[in-house]
Amino acid sequence: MAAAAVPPAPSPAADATTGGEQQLGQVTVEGTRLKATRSAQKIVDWLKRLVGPFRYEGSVELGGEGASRQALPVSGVADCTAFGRASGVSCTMMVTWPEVHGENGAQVPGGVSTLAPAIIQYGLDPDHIGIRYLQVDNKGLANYGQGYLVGDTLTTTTPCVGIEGECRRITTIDAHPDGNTTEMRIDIEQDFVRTVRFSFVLHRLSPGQFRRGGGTSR
Amino acid sequence: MLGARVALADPHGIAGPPEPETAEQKQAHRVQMASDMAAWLPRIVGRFRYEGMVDFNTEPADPGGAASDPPPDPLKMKSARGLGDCIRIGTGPGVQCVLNVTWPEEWDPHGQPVEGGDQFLKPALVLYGLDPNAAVLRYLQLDAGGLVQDGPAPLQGDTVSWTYTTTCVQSGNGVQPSCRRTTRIYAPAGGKTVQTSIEIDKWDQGNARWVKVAAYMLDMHRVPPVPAK
Repeated sequence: MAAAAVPPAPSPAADATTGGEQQLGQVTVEGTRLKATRSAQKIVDWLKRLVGPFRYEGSVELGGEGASRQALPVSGVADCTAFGRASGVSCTMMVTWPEVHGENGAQVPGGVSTLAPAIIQYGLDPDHIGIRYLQVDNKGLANYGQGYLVGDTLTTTTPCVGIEGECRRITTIDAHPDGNTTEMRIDIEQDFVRTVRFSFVLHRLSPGQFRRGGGTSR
Repeated sequence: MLGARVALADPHGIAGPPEPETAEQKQAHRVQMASDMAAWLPRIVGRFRYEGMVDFNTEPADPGGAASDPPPDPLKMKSARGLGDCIRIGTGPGVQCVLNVTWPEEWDPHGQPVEGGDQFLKPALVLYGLDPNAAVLRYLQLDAGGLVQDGPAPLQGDTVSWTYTTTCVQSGNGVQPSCRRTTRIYAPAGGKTVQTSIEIDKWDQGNARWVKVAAYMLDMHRVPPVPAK
């Protein structure tokens, strides 16, 4: 059993009863510690959940702590195909959100989608019984990761690409067992402060729905 | 090119070690490398016909042998052929390639393919992108088995290269030796041919050295685009 104390956090329930004035001082979470899977077959089964056409929705949350936050609605599609006997996966995506620029048109991290298009490849790392992936966006920038599968979730932490200074990119991919929904969250942390959160929910489409939505195939 | 920056020659041969790069020089180096890499990647975009040779060194390592690998024996070399199709990702310099390269498979006396003897590029999928912070390209290759190799791929001159070390596909006597695959892609500006070489070395525990077990020398000839009907 694992127990963890987390910092005070606003709770919707507390906000509803106290007008948002009161915060919980401590939350104790109990649960079973999950171990990374050591089964290559489970990883292959998880990778298979990523295969197919998907519709993207979700939000991109701009602004660091203390700054005004702005949530931008996400829309798009992806087409993911299996590759090779061990279920490597290649996804071509076309994902956008409303553009946001800083003062005088300055670039804001996450302010403009670079995922229209982008390609991401996933594969089984047989030496470490883990998963490796590489995403290349429409600027040519390569975001990569390697990690282990815990339950249905892959989490990786890597240096940011294309952002100077102390910056890390924390990616969480939760592919539901039914294969119909995958949740992806990508946090960009600069100097240990989150500056962007990409929250994507991928809904499986039928091939007919995908064609009507406009594919991005080769 | 800043990447090839060296200390100025000292006529008296008493030069000290080169001074460490300043933050400004490092930044300038990264910017220059990002520019060079973005210029290199489009050279491998297009459709290519692969032609080349594969050399399997199936001789056992000489226990008291020299450190150098034996020269390739032309009589043992096999021909390799195939196609490659590389596309740009949007308008950026990122590239994805689909390869389909074959050669006669090489089997050992026990009926197993020798290391590298299977047709691991039939097909393979390779993705390339820029990592400007580290001033390298990054690649991820899925081979015919769907297994992954990935990592940094530095550009030097007109050549991108990488070495990936992994457990050998073929184990010997229950042990799992290490194998390393070194890939080099030479793509000069304006060239009609891109040259790729792959070498597979196997760690010889007894002699504590790497032994070359397979080498692939592949010329990629650019194929004119097929006119749309």
